[in-house]
Amino acid sequence: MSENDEAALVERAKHDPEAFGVLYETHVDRIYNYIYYRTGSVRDAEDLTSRTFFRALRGIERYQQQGVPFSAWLYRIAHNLVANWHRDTSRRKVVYLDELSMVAESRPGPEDELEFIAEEAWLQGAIRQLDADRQLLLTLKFGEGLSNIEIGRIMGRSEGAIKSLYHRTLIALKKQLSREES
Amino acid sequence: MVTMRQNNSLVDVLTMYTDRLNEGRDMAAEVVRTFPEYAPDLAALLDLTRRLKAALMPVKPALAFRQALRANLLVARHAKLVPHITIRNPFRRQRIVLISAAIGSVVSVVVGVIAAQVIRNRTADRTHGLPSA
Repeated sequence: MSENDEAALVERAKHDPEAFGVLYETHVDRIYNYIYYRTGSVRDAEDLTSRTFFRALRGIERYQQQGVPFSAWLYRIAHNLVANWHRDTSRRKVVYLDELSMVAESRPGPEDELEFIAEEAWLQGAIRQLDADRQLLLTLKFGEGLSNIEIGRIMGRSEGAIKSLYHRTLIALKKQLSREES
Repeated sequence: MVTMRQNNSLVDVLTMYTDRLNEGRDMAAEVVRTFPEYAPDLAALLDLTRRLKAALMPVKPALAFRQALRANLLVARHAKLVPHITIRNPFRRQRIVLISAAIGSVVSVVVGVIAAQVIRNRTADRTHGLPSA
């Protein structure tokens, strides 16, 4: 969807529920993906994705085009909700048993598969220790396969700044993983 | 490889490698060969990039959830009745239950004290407050 098409769609969505539905269809997967990797839980990802879009629905009439992708606004809403979620849940960690069994069932196979799951979970846990901006950067880069220019437009930074942030993020993560491994 | 060589900072090399990886081409060996000056760190960073790519594979919401949320949003939009929150968070629900229970307890105690006082006053009136003949 071109920038102009998206801008027109957003304007329509302020008054037309079906247009909002199209925006929802366009962005729900990426918002869910971002929240999933920030929380590590399907249940919480569904909950926070719902809230993100209900909040967007409430606020869209006041939304003003500022030359950035509509997704930037959605990511900001999601980011705030995830931050609140982390604050609310920081005192107690909940593991949903049904989600654990879902993960186990979705990966058939013995030890090598379990090792793969453990490695993946360990790395995802390390990613969740990073700053929110760095987590968003990694999600956009690997989850959506976006270029630095596209990521910069969403995050409100220059291409050079994103490139540099990516490099620093890799270095920080490498150090963190080395510490944990040792 | 000429174009690869033109980008000579480690930051550029990492970006280029990641972009190619996202396109489905893992050029780690070639990159390490082309940029020996970054050898100490480069191989480890490329390996980390590959692991990140595997760990952050895109996930999609369940179809049922996706459709239900869309329907709820459209209904809310049509009705112009946007719920303040969707209560699915167990902590929030638990908090609401606890606060409600606390308020209920306080109200019960206050009503009990008032009732006891009223009964006591009436009893006192009957006992001592009868008009004398």
